[in-house]
Amino acid sequence: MIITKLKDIDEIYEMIKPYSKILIAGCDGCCQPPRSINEAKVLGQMLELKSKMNGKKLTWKAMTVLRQCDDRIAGSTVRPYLDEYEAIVSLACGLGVSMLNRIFEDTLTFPAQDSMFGASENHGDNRYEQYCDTCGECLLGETAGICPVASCAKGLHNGPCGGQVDGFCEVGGYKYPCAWIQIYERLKKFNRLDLFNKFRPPKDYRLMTSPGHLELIQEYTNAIEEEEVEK
Amino acid sequence: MKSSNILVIGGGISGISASLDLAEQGYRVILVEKSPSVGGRMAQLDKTFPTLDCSICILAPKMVEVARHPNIELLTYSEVSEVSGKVGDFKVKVIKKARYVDVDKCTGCEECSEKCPMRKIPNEFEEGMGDRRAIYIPFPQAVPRKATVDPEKCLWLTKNACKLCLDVCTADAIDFEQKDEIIEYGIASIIVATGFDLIDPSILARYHYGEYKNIITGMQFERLLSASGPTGGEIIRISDKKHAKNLAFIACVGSRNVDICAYCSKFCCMYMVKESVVAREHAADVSATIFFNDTRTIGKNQEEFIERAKEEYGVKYNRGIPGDIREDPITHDLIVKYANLDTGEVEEKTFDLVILANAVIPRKDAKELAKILGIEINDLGFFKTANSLEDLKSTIPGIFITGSCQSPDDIANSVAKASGAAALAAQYAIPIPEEEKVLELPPLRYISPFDEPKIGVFVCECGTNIGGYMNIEEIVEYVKTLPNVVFAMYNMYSCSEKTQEIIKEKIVEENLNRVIVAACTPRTHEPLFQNTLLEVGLNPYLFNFVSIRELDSWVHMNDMAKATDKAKDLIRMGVARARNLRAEYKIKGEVVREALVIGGGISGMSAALEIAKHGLKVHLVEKEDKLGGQLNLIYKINFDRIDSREFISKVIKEVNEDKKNINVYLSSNVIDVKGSIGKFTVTIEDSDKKRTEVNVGAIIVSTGASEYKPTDWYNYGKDPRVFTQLELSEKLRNNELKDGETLVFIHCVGSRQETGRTYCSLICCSESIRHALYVKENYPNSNIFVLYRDIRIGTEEEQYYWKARENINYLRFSEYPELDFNDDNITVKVHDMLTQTNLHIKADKVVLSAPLIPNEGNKRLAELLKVPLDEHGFFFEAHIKLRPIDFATDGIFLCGTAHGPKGIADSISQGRAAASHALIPLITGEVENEPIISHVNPALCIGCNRCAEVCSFGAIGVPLDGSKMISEVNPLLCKGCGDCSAECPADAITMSHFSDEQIEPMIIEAVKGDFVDERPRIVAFLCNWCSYAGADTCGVSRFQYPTNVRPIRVMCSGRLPKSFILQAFLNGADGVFIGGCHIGDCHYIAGNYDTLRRVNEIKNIITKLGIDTERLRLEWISASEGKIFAEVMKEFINKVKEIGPLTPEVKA
Repeated sequence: MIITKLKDIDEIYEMIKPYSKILIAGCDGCCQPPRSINEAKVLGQMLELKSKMNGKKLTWKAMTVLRQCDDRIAGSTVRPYLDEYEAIVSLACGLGVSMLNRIFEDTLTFPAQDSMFGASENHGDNRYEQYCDTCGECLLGETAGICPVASCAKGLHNGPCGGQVDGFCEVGGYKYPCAWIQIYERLKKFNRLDLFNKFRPPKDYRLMTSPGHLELIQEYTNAIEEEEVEK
Repeated sequence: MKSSNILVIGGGISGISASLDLAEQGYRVILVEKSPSVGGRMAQLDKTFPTLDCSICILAPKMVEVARHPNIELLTYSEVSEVSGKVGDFKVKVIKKARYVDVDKCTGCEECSEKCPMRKIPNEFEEGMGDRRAIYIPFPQAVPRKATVDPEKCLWLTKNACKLCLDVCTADAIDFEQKDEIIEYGIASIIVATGFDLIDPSILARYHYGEYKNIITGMQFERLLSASGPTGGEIIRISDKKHAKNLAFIACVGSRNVDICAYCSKFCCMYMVKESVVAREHAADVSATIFFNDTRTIGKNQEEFIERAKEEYGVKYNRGIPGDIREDPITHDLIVKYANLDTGEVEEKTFDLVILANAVIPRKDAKELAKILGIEINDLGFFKTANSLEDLKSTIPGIFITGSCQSPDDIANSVAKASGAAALAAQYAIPIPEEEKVLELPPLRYISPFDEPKIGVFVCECGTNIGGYMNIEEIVEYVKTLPNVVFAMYNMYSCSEKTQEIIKEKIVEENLNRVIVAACTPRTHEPLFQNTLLEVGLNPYLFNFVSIRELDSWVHMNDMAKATDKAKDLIRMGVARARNLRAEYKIKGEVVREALVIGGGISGMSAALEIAKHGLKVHLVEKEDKLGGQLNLIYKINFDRIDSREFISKVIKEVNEDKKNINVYLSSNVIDVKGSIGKFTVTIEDSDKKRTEVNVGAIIVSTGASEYKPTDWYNYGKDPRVFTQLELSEKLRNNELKDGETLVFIHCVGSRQETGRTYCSLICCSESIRHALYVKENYPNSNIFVLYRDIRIGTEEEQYYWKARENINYLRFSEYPELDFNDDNITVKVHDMLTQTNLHIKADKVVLSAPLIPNEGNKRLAELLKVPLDEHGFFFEAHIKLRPIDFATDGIFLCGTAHGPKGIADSISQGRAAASHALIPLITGEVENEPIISHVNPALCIGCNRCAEVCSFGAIGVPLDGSKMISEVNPLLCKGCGDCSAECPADAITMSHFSDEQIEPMIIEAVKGDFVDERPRIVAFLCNWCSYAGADTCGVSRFQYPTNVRPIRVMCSGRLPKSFILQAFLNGADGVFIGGCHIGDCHYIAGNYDTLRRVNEIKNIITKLGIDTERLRLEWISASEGKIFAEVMKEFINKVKEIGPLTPEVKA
């Protein structure tokens, strides 16, 4: 899921200041905390109140989209409202905001949130943790499921380094656990220290380039076509 | 034929709990209370330990419930005068004393008390510190809230003069012709729960109680602390109105005294800590010193509470009771002289106020009642029980005793014992037969949500209580103009029989489909009017109550115009809500009439037997290969030395003989649980991995606990000369000790630690004394040293402690002793606090008192049942005081040492109590829930599961079994707080009866007022159980505050989403007030935490919107804090007034 943080209300207000009718689009997708229609409504109320306090009338509508990062879903849900509103405020992550801007060329969509990172939700200790860095070269099979790229502050492929004391990392002032110690402990538990001792070459950062493109369905059909051509 | 009637004598917390249990199980309860109101001692308390819950807040709903329950006949101001016959067929006469007030007519307005010239009668409820009149209501939350004439003080009754009250009562309720009435009942069984008295401390001359003005009792101090007490919750010396800052508490005033009360009063140690902490919370400069002998804890989390009091609240403890108190003749401060046993010095200190923890004594009429009932009294004067394991059974079959009339006990134990007594009493009665229950009611008229609302409004004058402070005719004329109102009228008394008839007539005549009554308060009168609707076939949820007495006329007595306008607003808000009210139907579920008991120890077996006695099937699962649990290991039980194995084998035999009703699964474990109350599907696996699946309606957890093996201590496990008390018990059984040896007992080995096992194991002191006495008797030449920290034993056990001290050496330590292990002996080195010397004891054997520790399997079981564990691994009950044997999740109960360390008698009582609660659904065969519950709209739900995170009852959430990815509500578990509805980001959850579509129009109307200039206009959201109740108390007490507030009642402050607050501001509110229960007091466990989080979030944002955060106020106000409510309102309104109106000019 994508972890997001609501922007400062002043910042959102500044963005929509030129408009008097706005559509507020929530997202029911993986956005965390969930930003569905009630959140859109609360944002609408806040913006209206802020406008009112500044002597301005703001009309708004709150609605929500199953997933804003899907062009067909986002397009068909948002389109019916477009005629009535001058701008859109999106409560999705950056993907949703970009998507709406691309689908609706004649309307500006503004982000209400900052997108932080992709993460897992831990209810136990009430935290969002970035366990994966989407690096394109998964090592989890060798590290007992703990990612050194995302969880080691230095992203080391072979660790631990000399910066750990009692299992805590020097980066951040010995507050966060050393990923490599955790990897060691967990591999030991499964009697798989053979994986720990294995040498891993440095990371291939070419696989992490941005922007990322992948033609999902085409990739396979192309391959089949190529095979057939070879034959 | 067997009778359905069960008599409960005493309307305190024990009597109330027993009555509610029995009534819920379907028996008819005759509850007889001597005083004019139920509530007993608990109603007088300010807070309860160790959680500092507001006492009246948690008690009042139960008081109201006993009065409302159709199966309970409540007889207050009544006494049992004669009992004859025997179990199953008692003949009982009850005297209903003349109140000189017709309770059907009395509206509880207290106009009569106001006018009564007898002013200076000491108020019993305020422990003599306040006054009452000769016609009076004992306290604001009294149930029933009806006036009573004190025949000994009334001028008319004593001197044939006055009768002023007759003139002022417009309800015509006062009737001096009333006579005592004798009512006869056929009764199956009897529960006695008459409570206790407190000794007059003047018996101990050295404390000068009654002589020096600034010495009071603990109960009096309780009233000083209470917000509804004589000083409004300020710690003031009544004598000179001086703030008391330096407080001394003195323990054991009369108790543990061989000449006065030869026993321990049990709960004083804890209430002294509580009162110290609460006093400190009232004012930071208060300092409290507790003078004590031993600190005694009697339940869960209490040891930790004492430690917290010392550390966080700076409560000082002085070991040693003062020998003398003198009064400073000028300041009237008190000079206390005492020995400090920690240092051995005699010291002197001056205090502003001295509070005496006076002894609990049997009620003065206990002997008389015992005579009437034919039961016996024990040496201490309390009601006698059959033996030390049967603390619920009196000496006569069919008469049961519970609460402090048997032995002083705290609220949690009293509640558990009351339920246990209920289970026992129920055996002799039959549930009320179906044909006697059915009321003739017409079928409900179908009202579609699309039908045009036709609203009838009935405005109550309540004599002059409402009519005297606002223009009722003007209000009615105004109401007639409101949309959808087709009929409006006013009545002198809406609750009178006559008006009920008028309401019914009008519903039919005008074809009304919504009814509003604007009168006193929904908290007491809503059910009455809902029944009126039912009688003419209108769904009771189409009724809306508007409070214009407690929330208007009584708090705005000096401004008729504004009070009138406020009433118009309140009714308009009510009409707005009524338009969107929907017909709702009670939710019923069928129940599999079988139970599962997990754990075959004594508490589990006690529970199983009680259920089986009703002919219901019980599945009893035990992980070991035999039943009996810990009792198999113990040698002798309690001081009457009941042989444990003999005792337990009798119980096991009883269990095994009832083959028809009890299925025993030995060497088995519960490995899977699905479902909820009514139908759990449970998989049981035995040692051969054979699995059995059973369906049950209720589950009882009684997995017990076991003795800690202190391997980290004193070479235990390595040196055979060191063993535990339980191991000593085995040696005593086998006569393995040698005479002439020196034994050293060391207490608290592994318990009461600074970290980890911080709890007190409660039972070890008594076990140690028992063993010491036994050793001394059977090995007379042995020498015993007991090394202890505090001796904590039960009320009746005190005498044995004294006996033990005669020839056993008791040494108190603060630092744990050190042991040197030599070949021929063990040298125990200890610092004795009394003599302040270091002692070296050459011991042959060292016996360690190790605590009970929870089962390791608890964690797994807790996960299966989805119930919580506490930090130590014991199961965590729903509420430490009032629901000690329930989990928050309905249908699952707990008992015995799985809940926490406790003695065998308590474990048995708890087992029976758990059975009593499990029997409620099992006997009735159905579970019923109010329709005020959440509904999920599956089309909107996004499966984020936020609802499950805020629900404390496991009633909602995405089923994580992969069947569905959207949230589901279990309508039988939902308690109706609405927290999930406020939390849902997708607007998918509707809270019926308090839905957005019902509340939002109220917010709009609340700020609309276009009458007298009413700026600032404030919308107040109040939770039903505390803040709304506090506003009611404020009304009843006539505390005045400005009219600007427009209250909206919700069940829980957790119901409030951020959007309500923003909407109020958007619609033009100048201020928004949110009132909830104090943190920790939430009726729905933790709803107010969510309120706090949401309000903080909004507070952060609204400043940025240009709104002063002071316009938004969150306060925790309890049901007793009427005065605080008025003060907060005044202060908040003034603040908002100061900031000015929130009226920005809006350009189009």
